[in-house]
Amino acid sequence: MELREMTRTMVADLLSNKGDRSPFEDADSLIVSGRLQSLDAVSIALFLEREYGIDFSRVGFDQTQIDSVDAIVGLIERERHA
Amino acid sequence: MRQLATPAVTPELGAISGGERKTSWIGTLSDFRLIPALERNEENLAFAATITGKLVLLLLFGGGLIIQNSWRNAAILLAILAAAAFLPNHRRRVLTIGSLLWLAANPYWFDWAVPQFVAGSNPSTAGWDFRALYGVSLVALLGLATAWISLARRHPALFFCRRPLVTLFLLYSALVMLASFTDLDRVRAAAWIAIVVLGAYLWFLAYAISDQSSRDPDSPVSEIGTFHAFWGSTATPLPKGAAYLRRIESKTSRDLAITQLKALKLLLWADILGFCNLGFGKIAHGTLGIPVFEDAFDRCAAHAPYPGYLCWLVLLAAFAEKIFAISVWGHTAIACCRMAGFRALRNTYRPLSSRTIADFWNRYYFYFKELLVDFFFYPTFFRYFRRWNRLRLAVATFAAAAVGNMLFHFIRDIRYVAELGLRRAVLGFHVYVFYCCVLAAGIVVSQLRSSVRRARPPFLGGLPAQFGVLLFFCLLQVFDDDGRTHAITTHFAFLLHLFGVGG
Repeated sequence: MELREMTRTMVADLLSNKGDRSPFEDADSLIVSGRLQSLDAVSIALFLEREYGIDFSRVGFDQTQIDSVDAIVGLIERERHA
Repeated sequence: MRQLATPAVTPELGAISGGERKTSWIGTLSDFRLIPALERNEENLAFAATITGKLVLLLLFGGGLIIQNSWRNAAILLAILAAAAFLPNHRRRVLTIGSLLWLAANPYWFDWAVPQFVAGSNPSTAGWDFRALYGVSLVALLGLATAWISLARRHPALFFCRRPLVTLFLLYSALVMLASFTDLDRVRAAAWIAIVVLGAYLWFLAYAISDQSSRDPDSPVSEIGTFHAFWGSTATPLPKGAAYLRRIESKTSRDLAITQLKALKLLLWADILGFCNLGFGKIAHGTLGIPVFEDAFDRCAAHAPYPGYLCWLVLLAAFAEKIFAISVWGHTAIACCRMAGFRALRNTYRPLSSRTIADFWNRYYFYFKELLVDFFFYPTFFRYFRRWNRLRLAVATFAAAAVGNMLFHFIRDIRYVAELGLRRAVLGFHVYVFYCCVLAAGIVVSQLRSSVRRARPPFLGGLPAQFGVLLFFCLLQVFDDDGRTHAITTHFAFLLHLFGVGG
């Protein structure tokens, strides 16, 4: 599955678990807007650790790094090229 | 894909959240809006974006402010909000100037009595001019903040720039030790002045220094504007720090119109809740004669408790009043923040609808929870036990809800160290330590159970779960005592008395 599509699926799952089935754009804020919470951010971080080997203890964790599908994809690509 | 438990909450107005689709009468009831969704009407938005519209909004907002503030404070707030509304390109400068103006107009927002209490009891310091010292200490604090932020911009790798909270705790602890153990009266009084001022701004400083390691940090001047911003905060920064404000700032005139209409709605809701709280208090304590919690607790401590049923009513009334109070205060502050053009989430959002303990904690005092998450949960979660997901979640939650919570309240109520001495103040804190540990345990269990619970539809629409959560927090407030007066046995005696056990 393509990176962006996989990320969208993961985000859609998280929203769906909360009963939120409203559509979302790739640039839409997820955490800062309140659609996802700090613990959902942890779920996203775990997904990134597991699937892409991103080490947040090294890169530092900031909710805004994963606040949208675009931001998550950007983070993965930055870490791939790091 | 395996996920960690996530409490379902969206502390925002329905416009942003998709929310659950409910079909029952409960759903129909929860869809009812006492205040219409003004921001969903395009004509309202177009009007709110005009000069006349802004003036009308400000006028209406001012009317709402006067209900909860003096004329003087309402006028100052309205002047700052007007500047923010008409100068959107200079919003952050307006915030800094407005916050400094507000501080000058209302300088005694934190507990300034401690240094006077300490100094007043010693002849060598009794004559000190505390008004002048207060001004000097504030200027010194802001100077230190500016220097530290500037240094963190240039040298982010330095230990005290990389780990601001640890540095702040070390500095604060050193001051408390100095104040507690020095024999020199003047040094002790000066140390207490520093303790009080640093304690008031400690979490603001932590956010500001942390922000300097982000990719687009604010300047020191902009950071200072978030230090107890004019819309109000306690020691908990509302809404978080400058990094958060940058993300939620309205970027277009349409954004601003939506945000300001939501601000007006939230302030109106705060005023309605304020009146409800007033009415509730009059009926509960006046008409029905239900004593206040402190009175009932003191009676129990004196071995002359009120009857058990009355203690239950006392507890329920205290719980309701607590929720009213935090809602009114938080809604008012966030309404002002929104009116200034920041799309901040509510501080309290429908806590009574929580179906899990973690959910309630998230909904009750959102920005305090966020502070603990930012400074205790995330650092612990990403550093320790990385191979055991459930364990790291539990440990990180304990670090936030228990350890962080204790530290925050010990610093906030530092006056007990001045009044009782360090040893007695620490020992007397055991009741709140117990409260924090039970709270953290409840949140951990609730988080770990959430994923299981989510798989099937909630029993009876989730009502038993909601009742259980409210009962947990209602009973837990017996131990939510950050004073140092009673031993934990007295608190247990009150709890047991509720269930008909003991005298």
